[in-house]
Amino acid sequence: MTAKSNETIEPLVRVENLVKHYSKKRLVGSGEDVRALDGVSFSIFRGTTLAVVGESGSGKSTLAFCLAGLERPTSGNIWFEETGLSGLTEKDRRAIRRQIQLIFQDPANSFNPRWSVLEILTEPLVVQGNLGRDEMKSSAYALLEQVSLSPQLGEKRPSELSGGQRQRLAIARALGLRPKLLILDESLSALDCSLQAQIANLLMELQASLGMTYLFISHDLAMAAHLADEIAVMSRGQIVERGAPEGILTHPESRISRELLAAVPRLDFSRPPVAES
Amino acid sequence: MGSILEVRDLRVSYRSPGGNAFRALDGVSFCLESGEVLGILGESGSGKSTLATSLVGLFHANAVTVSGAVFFEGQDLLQAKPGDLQKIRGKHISLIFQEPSVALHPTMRAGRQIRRVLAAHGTKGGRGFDQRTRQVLEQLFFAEEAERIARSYPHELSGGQRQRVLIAQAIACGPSVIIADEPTASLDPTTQKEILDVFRALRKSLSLTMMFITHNPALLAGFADRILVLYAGRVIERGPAAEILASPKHPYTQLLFQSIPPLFGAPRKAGQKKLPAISGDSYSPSLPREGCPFEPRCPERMDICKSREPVLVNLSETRTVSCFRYEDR
Repeated sequence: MTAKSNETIEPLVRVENLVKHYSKKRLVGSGEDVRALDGVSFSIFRGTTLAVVGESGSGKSTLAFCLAGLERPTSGNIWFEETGLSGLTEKDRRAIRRQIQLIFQDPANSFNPRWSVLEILTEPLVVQGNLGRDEMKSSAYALLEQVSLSPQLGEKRPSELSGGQRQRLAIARALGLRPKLLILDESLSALDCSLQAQIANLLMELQASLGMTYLFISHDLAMAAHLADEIAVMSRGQIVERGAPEGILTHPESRISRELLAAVPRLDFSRPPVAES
Repeated sequence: MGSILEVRDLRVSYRSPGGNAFRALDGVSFCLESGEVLGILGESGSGKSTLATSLVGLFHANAVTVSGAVFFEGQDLLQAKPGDLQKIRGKHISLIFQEPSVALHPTMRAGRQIRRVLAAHGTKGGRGFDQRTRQVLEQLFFAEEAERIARSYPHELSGGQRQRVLIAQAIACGPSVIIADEPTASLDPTTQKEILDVFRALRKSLSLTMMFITHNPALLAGFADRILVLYAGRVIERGPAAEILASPKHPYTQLLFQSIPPLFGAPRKAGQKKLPAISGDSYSPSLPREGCPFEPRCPERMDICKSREPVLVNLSETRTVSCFRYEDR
């Protein structure tokens, strides 16, 4: 983990006082605005993981969308490698967007069902447009290997893959553009426990080998604590608590952290120590 | 206590689009005792949802073979006529599904959806239905809230409220068995806890008999009386919940429990500790098989595991496991 300690000097992403309001449209009169994000600030350092936890409706996904450039913030600024995103032209913003990739909860809905795995993996490379046909194909196979998917799956359709394989494919597709930041929006939540562990391990491997930076958005405090260097707890569009996982687990300061902690279903037994592998 | 539902050697096969049949359930037998909560623990492909629906005779159109028996009050439900089954479903055995947003009618008020369950099993006349609807809703919501919920459409309700409405439908006719298939899967943890508490409370007040199907063993802790672990359409381990949760015996169950990240106690610094995940992919029932279905992923596999299937071994009067590691005892 030497790369990690050397590169933590400047943040990869810096978010300053981010605000996003949605107007609530009514048939008669105008409703009050929904403050999805209400002044959020944080930094994520290179090669680290920031977990954002909170209940449904706390603004976690809006935050992901703003960072990925899918939503324009109402006010505030996002800095990516010292470039402020708000002042950019659409063309420059597109170049930065490539470096920030988003992975959703249910990858099944984010693939074209008629495309083969290879087509899915090469499409972002086609859009990028500086690779030849053969190069694209070989980099697609390299991506499959990177996420431990068999090259034999190349000709399959997404519907022929299992849930875990689909999530690996989503990660592979995101990696194709060599992003610096991966936003994982509830990316493990729909998976079985054993698959969650597999994908969590894959994310850690990729972080170690590629120096990836993650924004891990989840309502699962236990998994967040396992993966993250820092946890931010969100409630009603604001970060109410921030700190190292150990601190939040052992001394939760805010009411919402305590509630989230209490809601983690627990096996009522002392578990064996985590195995080395 | 006596058994209220008995499942004997249930086998269900589906035909896949490719044409080959795969077995979703492969010889499942168990009894559901009156007043107990039986936890069915299984991941994708284990056959748990097929089990839930088979018990009330709901089969997918592509189910090709069904064999075995499901006895409820002396009647084999698999042999029952469709009309007889309809009288049993919702009245004597209720099913609660995992997606409350899909299970409710989108353009019908919640109260009316509960009332329709009562009307379908028509025990009391018009006013009786309204009264019972209110009564059921008040068991699940605060009295002052119940009225508003009854008049709401599903889209006006939160996920937790919708799930409560589904539970209200399920208990409306006072069934003797409730089968809940991942009832909290689509909810966030705080709402999930709320719904689990609802089940706990109802269990006490109505002395429910329940089958609770989930992929998350932690949801069964402190709730289920017994646990049955399903893998590849068969029961691989069963016993009292407290014993299984404290010391699982089958390698699959052991690994499954370890793959859940611990909240306290274990080192968890990012990048340093891996979770002991089960290698490989979840079981694909379309593969031809010989030997133990977990063998390809099992870290403790032996030569014998490939050659034939393990049988259920009794470890004690209440615990069984299907693994060769225990066969010599």
